[in-house]
Amino acid sequence: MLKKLFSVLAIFALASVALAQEAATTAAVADTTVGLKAIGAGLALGLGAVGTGLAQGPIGAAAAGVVAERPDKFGAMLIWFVLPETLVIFGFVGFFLLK
Amino acid sequence: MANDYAYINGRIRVMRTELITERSFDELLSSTSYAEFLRLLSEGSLAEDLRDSTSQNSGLNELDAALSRNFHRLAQKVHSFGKGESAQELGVVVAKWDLINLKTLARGIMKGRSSEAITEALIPGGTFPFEVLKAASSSSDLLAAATTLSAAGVPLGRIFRDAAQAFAASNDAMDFEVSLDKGFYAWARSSAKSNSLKRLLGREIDLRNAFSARQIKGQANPGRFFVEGGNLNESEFVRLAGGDVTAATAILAPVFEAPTLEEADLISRKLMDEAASNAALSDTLGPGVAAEFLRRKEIEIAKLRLIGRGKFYGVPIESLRKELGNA
Repeated sequence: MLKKLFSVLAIFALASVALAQEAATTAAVADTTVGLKAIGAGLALGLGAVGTGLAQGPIGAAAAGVVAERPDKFGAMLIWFVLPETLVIFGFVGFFLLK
Repeated sequence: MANDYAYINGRIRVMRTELITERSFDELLSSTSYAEFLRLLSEGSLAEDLRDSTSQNSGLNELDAALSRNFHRLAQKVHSFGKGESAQELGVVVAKWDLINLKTLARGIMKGRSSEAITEALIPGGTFPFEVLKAASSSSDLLAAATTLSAAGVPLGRIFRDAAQAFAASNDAMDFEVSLDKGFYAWARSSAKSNSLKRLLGREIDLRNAFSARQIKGQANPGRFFVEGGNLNESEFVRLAGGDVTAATAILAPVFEAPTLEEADLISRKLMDEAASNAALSDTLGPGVAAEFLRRKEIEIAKLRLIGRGKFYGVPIESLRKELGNA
């Protein structure tokens, strides 16, 4: 009788461990999804900013050259200079969609 | 380096927009007198340099001085834009006028011309300070001039000294010029890092060799007149100097076959214009843009000198227009 009782208790104990394991796996998957989304959002914003930086480097240098010769061209040069900022805006959109 | 040229070429492109347009040249050509020509000219980008030449009693000397001043100012300005490697490359672009000036200086000294006559023929556009060139022009011989030029600390001073020594050894003016060309192009090729400038120098060397082969046709040992660095190799040069036109490439053949030296010079200048234009278009972040701008500026100055003379002496417009086509 005592032997049967221990067997039943052992089954219950294993069953509860198994049930706890399943709940933990579901939570881990959810955590991973959140983490990957955060990485994706970071990449969207970060890579957009890097692209903008790469584009603005030579544009800024050329614009500085033009403005050094013709200060009246400052406005036009500013427009050319800020055009690559659209890449960061796309990055922001991606960032908020993933968040 | 790329960012250096983004800034430099941005400035040069703006300076290019201030070059005299074809329409403005037509207006200058149509001016009814020298005074009107000066008035029209002083309304444009050359106003700053033309102050002295627009006063009463001023003549062609004042105009020449103003145009030289303008060219010198812009060449120095372009040269000053560079830093490090870009300064070295822009130095090569500007040093073209050093080579011309050193040859003019040497020819003047060899022929015993006065310092004033030599100075008048110089183009104030290279890396040598003009005062140093003036001081060298009063030297009694080439070695003395080389000592004066070496003091300027410009690399070409050493090259001139080597060429002067070659002349002292043989007393042959051709040896001087060949030594100067060889030294200059070896220095220029080692200083040029970008492919566009190397290609431009290669074209210049090829044209120099084609001209040289034309002049020494039939002479013994032609190989010593060959300058390395172009597409034409020494054996092709020797064949060309021997009269074998098939040794020249399709591009160089017209220079060699032109009936007169003037026509050969005209073809050669057009080929250099084309090469400079290609360098500017193919390498937007390189020194080709500066080379093309200075070439255009040089042509502009040459045209203005021609129109100025034409207006001063009352040459008919049609004759002037024909001459302008060759400028």
